[in-house]
Amino acid sequence: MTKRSLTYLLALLLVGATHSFAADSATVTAAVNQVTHGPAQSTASYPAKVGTQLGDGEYLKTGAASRAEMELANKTITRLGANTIFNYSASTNTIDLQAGTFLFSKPKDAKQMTIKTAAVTAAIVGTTGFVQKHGNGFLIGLVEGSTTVTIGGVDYTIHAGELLTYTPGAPPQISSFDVPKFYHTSSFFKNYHGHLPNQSYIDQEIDIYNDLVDRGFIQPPSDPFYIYEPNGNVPTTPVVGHDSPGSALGDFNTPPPAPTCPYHYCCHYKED
Amino acid sequence: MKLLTPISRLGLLLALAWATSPTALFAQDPAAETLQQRVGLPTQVASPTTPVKTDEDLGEISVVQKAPVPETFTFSTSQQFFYTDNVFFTDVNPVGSTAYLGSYTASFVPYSLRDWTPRVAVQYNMVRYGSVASGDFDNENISLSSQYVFSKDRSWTWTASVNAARFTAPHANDHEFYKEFVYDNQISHVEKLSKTLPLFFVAAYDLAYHQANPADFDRLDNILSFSLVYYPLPSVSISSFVRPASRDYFTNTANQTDRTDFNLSEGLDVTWQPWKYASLSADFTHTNDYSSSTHQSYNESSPGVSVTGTVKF
Repeated sequence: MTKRSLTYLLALLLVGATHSFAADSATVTAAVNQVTHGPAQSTASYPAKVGTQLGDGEYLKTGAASRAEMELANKTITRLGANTIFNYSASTNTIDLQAGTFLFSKPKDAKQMTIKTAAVTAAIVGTTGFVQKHGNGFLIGLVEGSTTVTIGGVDYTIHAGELLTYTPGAPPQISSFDVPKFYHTSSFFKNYHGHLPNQSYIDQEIDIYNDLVDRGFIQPPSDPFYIYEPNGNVPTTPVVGHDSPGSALGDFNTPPPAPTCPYHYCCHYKED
Repeated sequence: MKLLTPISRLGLLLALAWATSPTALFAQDPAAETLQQRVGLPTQVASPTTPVKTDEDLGEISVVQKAPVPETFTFSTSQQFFYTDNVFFTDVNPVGSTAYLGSYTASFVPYSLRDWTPRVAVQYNMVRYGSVASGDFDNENISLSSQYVFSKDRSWTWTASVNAARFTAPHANDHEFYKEFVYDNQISHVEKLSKTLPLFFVAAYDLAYHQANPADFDRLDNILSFSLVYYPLPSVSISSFVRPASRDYFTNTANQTDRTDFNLSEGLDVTWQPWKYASLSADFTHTNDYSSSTHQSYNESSPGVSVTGTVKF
């Protein structure tokens, strides 16, 4: 093997290793003010800049008045608000939220991503939404798509425009929220110029929301406030109309057909 | 007085609760729920203490009230197996039989508002008897309906509908032996009886005119329905009902003069919906019909089971 061939081989190995690391890691794509990362929360942290790559299980943390954006190995875009810390494992495709608020936009593929806290687990397939954990309180809302949230072994499905709030000791509550207002006031959308993978679905959902407002399905909260179950159809009872057709069928069959023998004694009688 | 042929009116009783019912047509729910549609009364709760949440990162999150939106397309099928102790609906020598009712329905909501839902539905039914093949029949329906909710808590509803139906005999070259238009107006009300238990009371009044061919069967129905529905689990409903009705026939024939019937049905139904696309039901219905015409009265009891599949999108 010549020296030149050896150099090429070494270069190829380096490129492959770099590519493999990038595929299994998350990359910081925006960092404003105090953003750090590290292999574990208790160890020393390092400043995170645009282009910083996080290894499997590493955390990303933002300080006060700080924010960051990160692209995960599965092409999900996450945007972290202030005072937020989460660990991301590419091998298990799981975000472990310790505290704070972040937005996620996962491309619509078949691969499931999990967002979890100590008490709550959410299965994300292809969805844009936000998660917040303050103390023991938990909040998840969806801008588009749907997800299943598991709390205490019970599954709750929430859809676009719905919000699930949970505080330990009380049952979770699901309510609807104003999607366009959130979209236009949240810093997760205002302060970033990058393209979200599900932007077309977000635009579509906002159009659907505005159409539902125009048709009266969505209204401001009023007193009394009503919560509709998924099967919230208006109850009705059917009209019964069986008599006339039955009589007509009888007329049609006049003279009446000989009834078949339903009883054993009558069959025996015939056989006799 | 016409002596009615002892033919399969029991099957018709069960089948046509679907087939000639515009409400059943657009309801698109499991067969057992045609007795009492799944109760969807919204839960009244205290107004959110913080309807608007402001967060540094999330911006403004305003809670809103969202009413359920009807699905544009619905396809459903119900396969029902039942037994009757009186196939021929007669007081004399009642004969029992097993029976099968296969029902296939498609419905379309072209546009809807919060309180108004128009719907077009088509439905095909086939009824086959275990021991009385001459009673078998097929039935096709098309229904147009308009449902209007006229109370804020969605507990009061007015439904107007027209349903066209034809009935054919499969073993007689598909001879059309009966067809009719049914013009129905219904007012219904649902009330939650307990703050802690999922127990509901449903009442309805129907005024339905049947324009039939042959015209012997033109009639006006006045129907009251009262139901109690209890959900011991979210996926299980137990319901009972009583349904008194009067039927006034307009055409006098050699077999009937100024005919008026009083029909009384009672029933019990248990439905389990383990999956949102499917449900299983068991029900029992008893009917007494008291007619002013001789030989038109009958009593009948029928237990049955059914499986229903529904897809909505």
